[in-house]
Amino acid sequence: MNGMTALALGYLGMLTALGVWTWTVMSRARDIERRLASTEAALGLNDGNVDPVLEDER
Amino acid sequence: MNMVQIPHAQGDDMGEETGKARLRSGYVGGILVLLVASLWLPTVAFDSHEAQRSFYLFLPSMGMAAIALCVLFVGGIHKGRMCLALGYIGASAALGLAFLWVPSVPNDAFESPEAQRLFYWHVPSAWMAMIAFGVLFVGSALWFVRRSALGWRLHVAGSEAGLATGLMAVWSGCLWGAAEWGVPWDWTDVRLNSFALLTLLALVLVLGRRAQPDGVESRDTFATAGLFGFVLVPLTYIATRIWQIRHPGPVIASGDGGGSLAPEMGALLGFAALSFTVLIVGHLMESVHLTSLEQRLDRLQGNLDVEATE
Repeated sequence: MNGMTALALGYLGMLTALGVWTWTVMSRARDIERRLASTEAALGLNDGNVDPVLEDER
Repeated sequence: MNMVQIPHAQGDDMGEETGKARLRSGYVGGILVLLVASLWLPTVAFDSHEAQRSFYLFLPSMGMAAIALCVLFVGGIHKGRMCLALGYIGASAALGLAFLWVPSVPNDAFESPEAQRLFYWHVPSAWMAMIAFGVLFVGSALWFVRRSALGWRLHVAGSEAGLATGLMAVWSGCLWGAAEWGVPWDWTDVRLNSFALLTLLALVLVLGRRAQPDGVESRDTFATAGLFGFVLVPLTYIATRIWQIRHPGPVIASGDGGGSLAPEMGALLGFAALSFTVLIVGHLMESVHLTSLEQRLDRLQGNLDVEATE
């Protein structure tokens, strides 16, 4: 394998890794948003911006 | 009385919404005017054709900055995701241009001209890593000093982004080192080793957080590591200025009034740095949002557990 092929593979690998990382973050957020919305609607909760560790400390 | 007050309150809300929409339209309009002016003004301001050419080379960067500002101001709750998508498109375009276009520029800055392509991947990755480690430091300090929930979310986002971008910079650096120096790593070079230690710190923080139950004590431990680890950032920055062993010194902002980059290279490096910055800002925003959602899920789970035991 010559140098340019290795470089091209490195670039493709990099772009793929960046894409996978970006897609994973976006799909995780979408998935948790959906689960939360349905759970909170079922339980009648709506105060979202709370950190459970800080709540326990208080 | 209530029947009168409710429509009045709704009217106020609607007025506020209309005001916000007008403000957003104002931002978009202002940015478009700036873009048009940036296309026209150089022909008036610069006499030399060469100077105009250099200016136009930086237009993609201005376009990226303008679109990113639009996204941040009018993106609403999905601005993190929009920044992510925009940054990824920009980064792909920059890497594509780096691979296909810029290497034709004659330059004497590199020993291995073909491997010069890695420059537009390696430098923006290191730049993103520095932003991520800065966010890690700010988040750790906010958690440690103020017990801020946002501070902890920033700590989590900074450590995850720092790990990913640090690995990108180390990986591209190894490839480039193999082509430029004949060896992928030099254990005597301070810049290389201090940056690797920073990436290792991010790895320890990410893995440690996943292995430990979330609590005040564990957060304090990780925040302390984040605070003290930040010492490596200025050390990494000044390393090539004090001990230049293998890694080259700065080629931009070198402090001596000039660099060794051709205008085309500077333009593409600027575009790549801006695109990667938009990408890392999107990642950090989305990661903070994600941590907040995970905490809400934990809280719900805790409530359900309490209800089940009662």
